[in-house]
Amino acid sequence: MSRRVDQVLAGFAEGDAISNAAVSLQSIVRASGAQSDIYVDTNHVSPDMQGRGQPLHEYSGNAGDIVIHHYSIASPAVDTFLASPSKKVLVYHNITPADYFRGYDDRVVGQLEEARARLVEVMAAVDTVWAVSDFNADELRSLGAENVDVFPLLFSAEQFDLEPDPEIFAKFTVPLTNLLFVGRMAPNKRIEDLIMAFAWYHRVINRRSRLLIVGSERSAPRYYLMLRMLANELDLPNVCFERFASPEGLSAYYELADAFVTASDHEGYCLPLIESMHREVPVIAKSRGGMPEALGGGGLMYDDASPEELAQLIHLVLSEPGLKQGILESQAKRMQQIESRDAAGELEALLAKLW
Amino acid sequence: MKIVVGGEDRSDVVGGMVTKGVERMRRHPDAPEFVHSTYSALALCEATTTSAYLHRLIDLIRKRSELSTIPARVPHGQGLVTTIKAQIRWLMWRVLRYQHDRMAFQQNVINTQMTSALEFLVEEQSREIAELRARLDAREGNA
Repeated sequence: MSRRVDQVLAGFAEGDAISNAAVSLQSIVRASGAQSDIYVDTNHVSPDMQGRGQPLHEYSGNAGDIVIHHYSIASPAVDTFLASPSKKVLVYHNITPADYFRGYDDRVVGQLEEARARLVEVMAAVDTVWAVSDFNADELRSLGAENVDVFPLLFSAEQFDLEPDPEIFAKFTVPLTNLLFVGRMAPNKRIEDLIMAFAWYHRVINRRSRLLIVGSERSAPRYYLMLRMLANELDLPNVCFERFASPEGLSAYYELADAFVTASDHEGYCLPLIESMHREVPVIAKSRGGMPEALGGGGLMYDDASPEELAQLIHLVLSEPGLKQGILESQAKRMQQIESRDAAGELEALLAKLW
Repeated sequence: MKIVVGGEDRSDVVGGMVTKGVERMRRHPDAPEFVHSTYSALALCEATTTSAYLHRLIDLIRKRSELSTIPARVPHGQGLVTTIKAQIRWLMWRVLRYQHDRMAFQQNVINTQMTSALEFLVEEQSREIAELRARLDAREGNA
């Protein structure tokens, strides 16, 4: 009988980092000859992902199998995972501190608080823990975890290099300087800081510019409303809230981008940084959480900056050829490291500890 | 401000350039005008519960219900053609402003109706919740 490595997820959506990680993991496991299915809470499956996972209640593991749970929020998937007789692997994607969501969504605050409260209990009940970054691993070790391996988020250039969506190009025919942010619209991303920095950049430095904000607003619609109100009160029609983008759409946005900018305060790893580096877009990121690790010496990182300072930093990166060149060279080096990674070998070694 | 470029600390050089640039920007006549924190959307960040957020939102919508059409900004660059184009746009704005103001007035009325409806809804829900809670307390008390 062949081996099985199943995954149970809290939700499944196209463009979501955890869903993408689960799909990539499934491909590697299947390529190795083992069987692998993804089980997900059907209440939290986006329409485009319907049929690509099995309903959570249909999961029934066997003692010789392995089950993986991607942990970032409290959900019914946690209990299904813990009840499984299979060997259990907890993949820790980090839990966004609940305080960021306070005021925007009491329900999400509750789920994040519950996830953090249960973390120690869940860790104690599993056979091993994999963290997607050293930053996450350190957090788990500080909570007393001993058996933590680091298995960074998978980046697949083949899955990412798609034909760009021509409709996006048609939408932005006027050639302006495009500043890009990609990520779900959540309060920990501090998109308001980005908008305020753009207000300075657009008004004082470069009128022919736009800020493209690409990412789903579904996890915090009240935060999204606040951002739209802010862009309106600053009289910035060139702040483009593009919301969710298909993989082809995303490819087009990276093609349009002159720089990728993020003022995010909390990230477990931040895959869009890797995507930007891959597409040779200079990255400007705040030195927080797992982002220095994802950049791995590439791009430009800054500590706290006022909106004016961030605007000026963007201007320097776009106008000083030496600075931009240095950033792009460092990013190319980092991408060589990432692309030469033997993810299948790493996964095999980690699974071998459990079989 | 610490700046790291390609893994190298460049706070001195790049940071110095940023500081000089910021000084120039702050003196610029087109520097953005930030709304006072009481009236800004950023006031919503201060809410600690969903209910507090909703109350602040209603408050903000009330304070920001008027659309001003006076400070219409006509962008213009350098050169004779660009200046003439800007003048034409400015003239068109003067001609069309009356119609625009009519539409803005109608939109403001709709916004006000929406805000009021939202307020009534919140009030009604709060009243219903209070009533249900009182009935529940009474039943639990009897049991």
